[in-house]
Amino acid sequence: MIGLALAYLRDRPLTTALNLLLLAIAVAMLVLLVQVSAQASERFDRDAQGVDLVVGAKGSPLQLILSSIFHVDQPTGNIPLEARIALERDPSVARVVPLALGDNFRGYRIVGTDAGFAALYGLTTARGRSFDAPMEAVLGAEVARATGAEVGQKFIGSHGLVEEEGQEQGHDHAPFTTVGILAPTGGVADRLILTSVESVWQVHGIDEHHQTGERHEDGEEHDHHEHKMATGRESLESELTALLVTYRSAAGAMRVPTMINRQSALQAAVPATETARLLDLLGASLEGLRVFAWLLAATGGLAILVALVGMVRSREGDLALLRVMGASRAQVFGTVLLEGVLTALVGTGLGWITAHGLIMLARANFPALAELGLAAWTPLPAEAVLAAAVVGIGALAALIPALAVYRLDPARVLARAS
Amino acid sequence: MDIAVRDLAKAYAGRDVLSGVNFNAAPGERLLLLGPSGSGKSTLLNCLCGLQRPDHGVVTLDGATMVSSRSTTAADTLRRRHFGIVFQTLRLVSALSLRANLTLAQKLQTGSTDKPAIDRMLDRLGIVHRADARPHQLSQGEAQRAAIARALVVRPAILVADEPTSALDHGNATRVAALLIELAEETGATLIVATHDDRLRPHFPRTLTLQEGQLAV
Repeated sequence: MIGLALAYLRDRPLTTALNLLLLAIAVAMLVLLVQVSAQASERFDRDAQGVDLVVGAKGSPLQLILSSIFHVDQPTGNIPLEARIALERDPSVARVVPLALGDNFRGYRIVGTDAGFAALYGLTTARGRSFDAPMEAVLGAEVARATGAEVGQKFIGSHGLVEEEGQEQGHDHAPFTTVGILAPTGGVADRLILTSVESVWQVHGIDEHHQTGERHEDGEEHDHHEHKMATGRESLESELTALLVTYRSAAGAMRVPTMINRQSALQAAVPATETARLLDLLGASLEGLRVFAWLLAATGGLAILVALVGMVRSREGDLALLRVMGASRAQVFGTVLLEGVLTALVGTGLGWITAHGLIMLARANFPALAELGLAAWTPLPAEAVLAAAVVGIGALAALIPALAVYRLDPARVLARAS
Repeated sequence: MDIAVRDLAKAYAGRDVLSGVNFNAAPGERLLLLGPSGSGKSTLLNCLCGLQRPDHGVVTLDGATMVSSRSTTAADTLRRRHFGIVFQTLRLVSALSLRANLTLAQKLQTGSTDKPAIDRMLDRLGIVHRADARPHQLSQGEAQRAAIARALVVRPAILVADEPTSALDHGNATRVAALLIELAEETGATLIVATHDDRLRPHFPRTLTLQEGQLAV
């Protein structure tokens, strides 16, 4: 009976192709939505793990979270070193990880930080060792793979957090030495270059003694651009871009953000709150698309229904003949039902392949998506539920004509035909 | 198989289409059911094959009830096991090739397929070269022979044909009738042909004439 159902589908290729197309588009859209929202949510959760609070310059809290945890936006500015010292002294704070941003190497962000960063994200080196002295750097797994860099090689960072066309403003005077390559984590660290905060200061012409707030006496030796960190504004002070804070106790969550926000230059942003806000924003637009995609799937179901009703009418004689030849009511019913289910199955398969193929193409053509960690061929349980639902729509659509066939009276059809 | 039709009656909208029909057919017998259009031939064949339930009477095969006014329960199974049926217009499943039609018939009626037997049957009917053609690509004569092949490929005990020659010219009609008889004799099947075509009478040793739903004495 499967062979017969396939023969009927092949017998009307245009209708079958159109039904498949409708269902495939609907399924592709739904799979894309499931993938994007699940991967974004998972990525947010993974990268924000262990960070209770982010302290940075005043500005948009979402921007602060995006730039400091997910490394996808510009920082809000720089903050004084004293902020770190004050937080480290706070008894309710367990860990403060500093971040000093400002440069990139071939589009990968150079992050000045300390050993706390590796502890926070559970990073280990696959080759070489961690950075120790100034101008030593450790590359994330993705950075090493994409740039082909190896331990012992030197590289020069460029201004800004993203690679720009024809970028020439490199810090030629301060090359980094690769001392290690991180094991892949599947998180943001894969796409970062880690070095000490002091290295970032050194690149920007700030000596370590500036940490105490002293001005550099031979400051005029540096070009102005050499003193720009994350904001691009001139700065001869030792500053940081942000601090990733982990509380020692729940009491910290009550007190620390208020304390920080009271200070005019600082703001405290809670990753959980901001990512929830971001997912809400994302979710609202995804919801509209999701409704549209389900409408499309329902239209595909209706198209199957119309096609099968038409088929049953035009093939009444065939179906009566099948009954005469010994097919049971259930077998003829099953043939029509199978047509709907097969159409839905193939449409779902095509849609699934299209969606994952599109993610793969998008990853290959838009580096930002690769940077976001969008994976192409990682099926999710929700996709199985979705596929079952679409096949269910196909079966439901086929049920009405199948029931009509079940009740078909071969003698009446024969009487009409003769 | 012994076929017994007892006191069969069927009415549509208060009009008697069959009334008090009685006859027997012995195994391997060749029987012509002759009558003008509207005389009840098709209704009688439909009841005989268990496709329609009579209002009264019973059809038995070797003493087992095939169909009665009370039940058609056994009809599907008995039809599948013992009958090959050739219709005037409904000949083949349109979406399948000729060979696939015969394969499907075997699969449905016997539960297995015998490809060499299919090719032998198509060859015997002179249409083996059209085995991969779809029904709409066949001529009238080829299609009728294909329908006979479909009915006979399952080696039925009873071969029933309803107006098998109505769409054919005299030459083709004679050839089809001769072929039906020949194949029925080869397979030992009981042959019952319903027709309004008086020209077939000489080919059959026994003719039953149906007029206004009753068998003429």
